[in-house]
Amino acid sequence: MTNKIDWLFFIKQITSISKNTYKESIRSKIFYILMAFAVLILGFAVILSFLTIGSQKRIILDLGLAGISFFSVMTSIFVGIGLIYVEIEKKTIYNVLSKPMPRSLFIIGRYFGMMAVLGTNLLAMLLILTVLLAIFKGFTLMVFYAGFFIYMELAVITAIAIFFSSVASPVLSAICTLAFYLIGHTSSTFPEILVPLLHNQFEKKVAIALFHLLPDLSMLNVCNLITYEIPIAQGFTIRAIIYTFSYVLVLLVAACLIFRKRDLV
Amino acid sequence: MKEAAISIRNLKKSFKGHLSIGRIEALRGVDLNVPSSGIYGFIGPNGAGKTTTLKIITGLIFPDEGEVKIFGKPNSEFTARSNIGFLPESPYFYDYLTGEELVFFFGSLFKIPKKELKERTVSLLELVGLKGKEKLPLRKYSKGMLQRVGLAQALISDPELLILDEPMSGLDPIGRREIRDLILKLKKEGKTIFFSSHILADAEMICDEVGIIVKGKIVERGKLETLLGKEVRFWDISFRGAQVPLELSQKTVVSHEDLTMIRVDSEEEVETALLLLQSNKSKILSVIPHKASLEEIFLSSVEEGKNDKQN
Amino acid sequence: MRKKIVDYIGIVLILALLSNVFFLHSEIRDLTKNYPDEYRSYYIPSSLQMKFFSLGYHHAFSDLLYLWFLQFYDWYNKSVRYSYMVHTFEVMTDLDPKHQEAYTIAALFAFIPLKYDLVYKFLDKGIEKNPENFVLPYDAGCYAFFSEKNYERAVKYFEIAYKRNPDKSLLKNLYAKALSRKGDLDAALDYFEDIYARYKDDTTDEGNYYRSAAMRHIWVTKNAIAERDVKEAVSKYRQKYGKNPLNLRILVNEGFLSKIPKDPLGEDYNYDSNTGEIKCVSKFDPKAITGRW
Ligand SMILES: Nc1ncnc2c1ncn2[C@@H]1O[C@H](COP(=O)(O)OP(=O)(O)O)[C@@H](O)[C@H]1O
Ligand SMILES: [Mg+2]
Repeated sequence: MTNKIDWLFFIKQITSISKNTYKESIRSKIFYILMAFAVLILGFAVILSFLTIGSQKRIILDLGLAGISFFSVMTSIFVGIGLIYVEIEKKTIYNVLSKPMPRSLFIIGRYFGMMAVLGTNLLAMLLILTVLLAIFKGFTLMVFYAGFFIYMELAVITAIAIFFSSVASPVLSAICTLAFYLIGHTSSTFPEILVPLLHNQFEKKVAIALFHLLPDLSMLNVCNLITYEIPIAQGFTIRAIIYTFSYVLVLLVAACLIFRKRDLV
Repeated sequence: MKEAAISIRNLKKSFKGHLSIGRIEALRGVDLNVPSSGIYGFIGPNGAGKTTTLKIITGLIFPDEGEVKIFGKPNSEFTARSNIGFLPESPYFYDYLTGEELVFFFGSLFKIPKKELKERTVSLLELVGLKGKEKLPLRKYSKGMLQRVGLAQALISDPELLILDEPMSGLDPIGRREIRDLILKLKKEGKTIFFSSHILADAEMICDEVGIIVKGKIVERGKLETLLGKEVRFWDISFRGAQVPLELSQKTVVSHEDLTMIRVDSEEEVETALLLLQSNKSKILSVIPHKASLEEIFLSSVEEGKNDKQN
Repeated sequence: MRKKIVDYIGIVLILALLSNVFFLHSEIRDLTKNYPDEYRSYYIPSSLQMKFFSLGYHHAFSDLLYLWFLQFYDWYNKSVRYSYMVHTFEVMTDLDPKHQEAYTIAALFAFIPLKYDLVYKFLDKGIEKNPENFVLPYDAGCYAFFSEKNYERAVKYFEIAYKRNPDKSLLKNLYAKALSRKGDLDAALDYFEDIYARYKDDTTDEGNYYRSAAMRHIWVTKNAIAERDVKEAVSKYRQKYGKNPLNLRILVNEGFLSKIPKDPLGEDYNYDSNTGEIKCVSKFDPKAITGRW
């Protein structure tokens, strides 16, 4: 056996783990329960839209996208926090990690599997939304553009969840991941709300530094632009993708580093 | 001489105690050498540190001290695991998969071409006696079936070394026998088998060599024949007679109505005892020579371990 | 068997409790029905808080508030209703400043009890936040023009609307009308003539409508300009001599009028020396508009 790293083989192993993760979700009940909830939310958006004076399409679009985003995030958090922990808890991980495979591949494989599940889920919901919009004469493909950025957000959230899953218990992970989600969606208001409340120059600087450092998930939220079909800023998409990837990479690398040294007891 | 399948030097491992108070020393310097042929039994009472040792070997936990080599390769390299098959203690599997999917999934983590992997999955499931149950989800498997599917997944890469943690625990006598036969069959195929057990009968029947671990330390190791010894240790004589001769009453083990059993330590004593009994008109029922059993060795080791601790 | 009985008892218990809850709830609601409205609290956080809590889904929350607004704007007693309305409005338009329906519907709800200050307050915010939008100033202009009959205000709004979308003849027409009502006749005439020029040869429905409307407006405005000029001249004359002039010639001679005014058909006006006013005697004739005179 040579000492050269066999990247192709690694990719094969990651794919195997991902496929298995995908199967796990597709065969679990929680996946369908969350899907049902999302469909319920879409139906609710349609019902609410009958109450409005003015354009129904707008209500369906706004509430539909927000609902999809919210439920995808919840799926991501509540499935994501168990991704590593449950395997350790149920001891199913012993069989996998006793195979000739670096441990980090397990984390990466689980991550990609989860992202595939979320992708399927998201796509299904977006299709339903598009059909609903088409019924109410508001068909727009921009929905998928918004969906793409929801997916970017999910990539970050799942990475956060998997990071915590590989170091902490599900309850703690859920709290921490939810906290990150909330911070990610409110850190954009730091300059507007938080900074004026601070009197100390140093505190202000810290707040601004945090503002730039914490994951800014609301930046990835383009739902508000879609309503008025406001064109997305030039170069936004590519930067947002790189931003997401950087964040995901940071979290996955950190998760792998910690997990590499961890006793699986 | 062939390289040792597993060689362990001075392995130490301690865990955090309950509520993180104090430390539990699970392994206190384990040395072990598993030769690359035959069946090696790793015997010890519950909580002796067998599982801990096996987890360290397979890289699931990390030792505080000491080193482990698998076929000469340090086990910290993940490639060291490419030649072993591992069956964890009372194995847990993804219960949403079918038996076939499970074995295939674990196989896909090895460098095995897909087509070959499929064939091997089928033949292995047949080997472990799960033919016809491949399409059943694992949550419908019985404990014995899980153990067998676990063996199948351990064998999927056709490894030279099999590491089995308590492969027979929790099974009924028929299940135990089947697993035992399977292990013997694998030995015939030229595989090295390293298994742990707290049940001596299993080991006595199939092991070529054993290591006995008590409280995190190897207390006895070697070939089974050398451990057990060749010569007879004592004799049991049973007879029927109204009266036990005075000289023999000291040696009585059991006596019930007119039935009595005595135990003597040497051949001369047997002769004198028989003469005495004949003169007494007792009816000799049986004279049975006894060799040392693994159980005795085990028990004496455990005693030593206890004394160790007291000191 | 025993187990089954326990099951049934449990189910009956649950149903009994649920019905109890149901009736209690409606009873309590009845009891509290007559509390003064001020005691009801439908708390809506401030805009800043909402921006924080809506986690970036500003539009969705604006929509929800909008629906809430539609359902419950009149729940409060009159004394607090309007401040509540203003608050809800502020929050939903802060969350989504481009939410046009929010502005127009809020203005409509303020218009029903004829709260003009609120109507303009709501629309002003929309006009300010949406520098491209012409519907909102148009809306505001209509309230001022048709209902409040505050032409100064109407001119202000229609001017904004017209400037934001100069191509729309509807806005230009309204702007000119408001100008003429306000008394700015010369400016109004210019705009009417612009509209006329634009649709001179347009035979579409729209063209016909605006052309004929413009012709009427030009006729009326021209007469009005003449009447105004004469009135001014007469009042100056009266200041000097203490009486109305006997005819228009005198005014020209005295230098109060540049020339004797003619109606769009070129006919003389009928001058009444008692009142000092002129009156158009010709019947409206579209031909009069077609050329300069
Ligand atoms: N995760 C753990 N945390 C604390 N103590 C542990 C842990 N795992 C094992 N131990 C302790 O280590 C000792 C050895 O355990 P183990 O290796 O499972 O024994 P065996 O497999 O021989 O029955 C026991 O005293 C056990 O209590
Ligand atoms: Mg054990």
